[in-house]
Amino acid sequence: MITSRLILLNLKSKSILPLSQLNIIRPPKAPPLIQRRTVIGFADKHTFKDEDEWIRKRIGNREIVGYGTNGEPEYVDRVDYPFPSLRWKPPYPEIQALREKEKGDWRLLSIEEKKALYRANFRQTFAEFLAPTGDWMGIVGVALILTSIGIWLYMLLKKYVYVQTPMPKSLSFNSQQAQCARMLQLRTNPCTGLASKWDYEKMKWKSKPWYIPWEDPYAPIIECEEDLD
Amino acid sequence: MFRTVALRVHSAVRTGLNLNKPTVLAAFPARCMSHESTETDAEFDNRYESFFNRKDIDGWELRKGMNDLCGMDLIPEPRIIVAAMKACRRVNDYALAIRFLEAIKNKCGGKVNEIYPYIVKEIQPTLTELGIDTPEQLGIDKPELALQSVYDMS
Repeated sequence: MITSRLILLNLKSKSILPLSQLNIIRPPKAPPLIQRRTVIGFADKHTFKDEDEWIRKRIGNREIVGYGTNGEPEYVDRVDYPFPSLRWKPPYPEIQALREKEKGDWRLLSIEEKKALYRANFRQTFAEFLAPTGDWMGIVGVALILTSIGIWLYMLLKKYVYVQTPMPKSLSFNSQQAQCARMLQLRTNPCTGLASKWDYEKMKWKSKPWYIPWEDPYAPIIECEEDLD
Repeated sequence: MFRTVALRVHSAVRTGLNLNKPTVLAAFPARCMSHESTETDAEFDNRYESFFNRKDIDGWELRKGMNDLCGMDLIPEPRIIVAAMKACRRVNDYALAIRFLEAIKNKCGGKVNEIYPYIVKEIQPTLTELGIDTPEQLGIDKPELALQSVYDMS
């Protein structure tokens, strides 16, 4: 007890540097390995006291010039709402000079100036945002890869799994015929389904569905050795 | 007792009916919730032409009018487009005029080779007068820039 106190006292008296100086010695904080960019979206709306502040944080000093698609301060290139609520570029000195020139005769503007005005207002022309992206190739490719994986799994199951553990007996062809006859006896789905296709007076199909292979499901079943197991 | 009650009920019902009658009649035409539009094509064209011809139109209303036209199942008449071009001139916004012409061309859809040349022919005098180029003259009828994705911008 006493010794430990003494040690503590000793440590205190021997401290070399005050804490404030220790802070100076500490190396500057390294930048994070992954630079995370903060995108301010709808989910952050509640973190702002004022809605205007939130809007300003999202759009910087871009001008709000119209109602746009849905009354939100967003830039979207759409064919059915070609005029979004924002100008695409925030005002910069060159474009402000150009806007002054725009107030004069438009025939005096050069092609480059006209294009600059367009690009300041809109991000992409119709021809650009309607151009095909080629994304369908990747989508079709991934879909085909997944499908082929499924086919491979099926083939492997057939080859290695269902050889060792055979399918249940009720899946045999004869059992399926018996099941079909049983379903007709029970009159399953009499309005549009199986029983509606069977004529119970003449005891034959009115119209045989394509998925039924038996002309007469009630025909006596010839059992083979496999079925008797 | 019963007589008193009956009289009171009778008078109350009668007052209620008298009071309600005009209200019901007045409320009915105000709630035309959904019925077919009776506006003719000519009236529609006139409405939009006069909307764009307004002297005090500003950029906000101009965009709204052109956005609405682009959302409809129609291609605006050349005289509406002419009025819109002049409105763009009045609000001093060149880009709006080009964008609207692009949108018109897009609205022509599969018949772009039939309808678009007609529209350009009709509005060409106005375009020349105001100094507006068609998207073809500006060279933006074909993709010009392959832009960076916004997710890759810093």
